Amino acid sequence: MTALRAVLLGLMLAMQVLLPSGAAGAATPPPGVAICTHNFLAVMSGVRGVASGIGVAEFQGSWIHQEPEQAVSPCVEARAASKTPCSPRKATEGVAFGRYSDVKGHHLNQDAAFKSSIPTKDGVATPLSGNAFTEPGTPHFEAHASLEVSWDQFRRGGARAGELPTNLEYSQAPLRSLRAAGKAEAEAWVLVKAAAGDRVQHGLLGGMPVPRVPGRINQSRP
Amino acid sequence: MLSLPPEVDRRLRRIPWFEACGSAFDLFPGIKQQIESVDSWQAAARCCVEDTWEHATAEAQAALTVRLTEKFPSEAVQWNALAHAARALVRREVGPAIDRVMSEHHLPKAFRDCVEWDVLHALMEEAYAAQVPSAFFRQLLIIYEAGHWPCGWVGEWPAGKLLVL
Repeated sequence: MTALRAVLLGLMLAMQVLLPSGAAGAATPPPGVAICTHNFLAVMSGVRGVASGIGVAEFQGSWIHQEPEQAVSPCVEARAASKTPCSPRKATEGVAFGRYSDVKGHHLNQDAAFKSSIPTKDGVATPLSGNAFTEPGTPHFEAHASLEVSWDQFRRGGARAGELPTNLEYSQAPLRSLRAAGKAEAEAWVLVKAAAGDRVQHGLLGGMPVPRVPGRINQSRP
Repeated sequence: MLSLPPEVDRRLRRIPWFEACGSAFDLFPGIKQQIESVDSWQAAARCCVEDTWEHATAEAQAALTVRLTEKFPSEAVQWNALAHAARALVRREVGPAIDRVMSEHHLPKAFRDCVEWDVLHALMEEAYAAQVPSAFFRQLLIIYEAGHWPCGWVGEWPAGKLLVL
């Protein structure tokens, strides 16, 4: 029985990571995005840090998967050694993400939905410029505008009012929102995988509903 | 396996939906929430689209779902199946009364959205009563059972008053 439960848990974890596009399965990762058992293991133990390339993930201070042609950034090595926060790098150099307390920016698992399970300061985040409430056209504003569309279907009057998206379904929302924020496809997928890993690390498995539907943020558009 | 409470369809069928709206009321049994009356359908329809009411009912939903996902994951995974069943039941049992009142008083779609949300979540609170003793929507159902419409909120949740037609 214990073995069966372990197998089922492993399967659920794998689904969360390997199918970040949600139940519909409409999207597939772009060429070059690694979805592999190495990342799966990384997700099981938590993904943290600044990825210096696609498919690279930090594993409790060390790297367990790295594309052969890509080097670990000195910044990340220094962080692993010293445990000091690492400044996020520009997206053009790699995919920047980390703990919200380190990078600020945009929670990949929306804080208003997940903060009961993922402490605000610990949530995985990525730098996005702009004010999410007042600056239309900026990446942060457009990311949240996209998230609002996703949440609306679960709010009063929505097509699925009263239901909650599962964590697996939720993966669609940050993927769309990161595209809306102007992120490249490959970068968006790396971030979505990091977000899925963060949820799993906090016990939010793919088949479980998200803790809550956030209230409307009432963005101001001219 | 969780299920909607037995007899709930009969309970919904017995409710004199909206028949006492516009008439005075005193106290509703078992409700401690402060209540303020609204005196017309049009005023009530305006109240129900206010942000304060959406916020209150969204927070009441979250009070249930956050606790469930934190403490009762096995039960939480059944949420959507129950919500599906509850929505179908609400539409079947309450839909005709909603249609009638919307037509009589020229009410917007928001009226239907609000009533369906309230009753659906009252059923969800009943279904999960053994896990989470939240009662906000179950109290709204008591007001519906008295023939009135809980239509809005004044104040900042959780403080404030419930508005009832």
